[in-house]
Amino acid sequence: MSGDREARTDGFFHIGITVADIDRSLVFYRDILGLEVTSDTTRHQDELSSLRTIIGVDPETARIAFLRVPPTDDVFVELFQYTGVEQHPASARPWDIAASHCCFYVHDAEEVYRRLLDGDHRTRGPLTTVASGPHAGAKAAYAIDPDGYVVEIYQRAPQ
Amino acid sequence: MMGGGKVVGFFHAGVTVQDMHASLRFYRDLLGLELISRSEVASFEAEAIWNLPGAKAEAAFLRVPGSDALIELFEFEGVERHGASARPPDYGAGHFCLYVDDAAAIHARLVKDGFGARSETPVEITASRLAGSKVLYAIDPDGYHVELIERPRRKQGPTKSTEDTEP
Repeated sequence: MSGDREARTDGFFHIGITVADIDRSLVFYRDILGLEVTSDTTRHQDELSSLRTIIGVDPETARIAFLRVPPTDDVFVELFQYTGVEQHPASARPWDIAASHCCFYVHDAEEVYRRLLDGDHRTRGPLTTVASGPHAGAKAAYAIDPDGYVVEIYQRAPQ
Repeated sequence: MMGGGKVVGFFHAGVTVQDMHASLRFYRDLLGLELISRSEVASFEAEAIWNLPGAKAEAAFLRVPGSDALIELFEFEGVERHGASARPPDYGAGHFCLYVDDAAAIHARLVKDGFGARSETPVEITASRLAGSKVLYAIDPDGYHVELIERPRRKQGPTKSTEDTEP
């Protein structure tokens, strides 16, 4: 295609995570992290033709929940739960090739960190304050979601 | 005092890569993301956050045009590495989704440049509120999935809605 459209990226829509149990994952993403559920739908085989073609997977059902990341109105986390398809845990070790994480800003990392631990969630390391460099004073931790996916929480350095 | 412990914004999506050079060809040259920084991450704090003593990484941040969202690529050193499962149905697997202006052209370029996509052509969504959108799952050099969606051109706008369940 020529002209002004150049086959280029022009926006960010969502980050998608496959989970074993959406209800369990909603405790993490909605109740602890505070994302807002905007839709939650289960589709059955005869309604999944696009998904079958796009992803190349043929499940019996797919339950898909979208959660908005505040305060944005157009960035979403999308949770997928499949039934009727062979599943294995994806490697979630951050250093393995093609592993992914997403990172959210928080105002009060200590509070989020405490709430994660109170909810029996794990983190890779403790909440850590960056001591030097351009991010000095920022606080970050890698939280582990119920399926092993890594969600970074990040509090910006004081201005 | 700042507010309580809740998410207050989206910073970036991160992907661990085997070879930064190959991945920049994909994310910068082919998808058109804008490289804004490239640096060595080797610090006590990074080791603590990752809980990976001795690990360091080359990091690249790329801005997604049309947004404030960033993609972070990591190439790790000093630690044993394996391929992560990249099958979409496996739990703990992730992808992210970018808007594009011409899904067919990008699909053709992916094929031409030796990358892949899960479907042989972009798929046009027929029902649901994304109707008219063209979607493909591109496969990055390490097997990670990047969903690309072209919104219908006629009417502006509302397709950012998620009141449907397309992938």
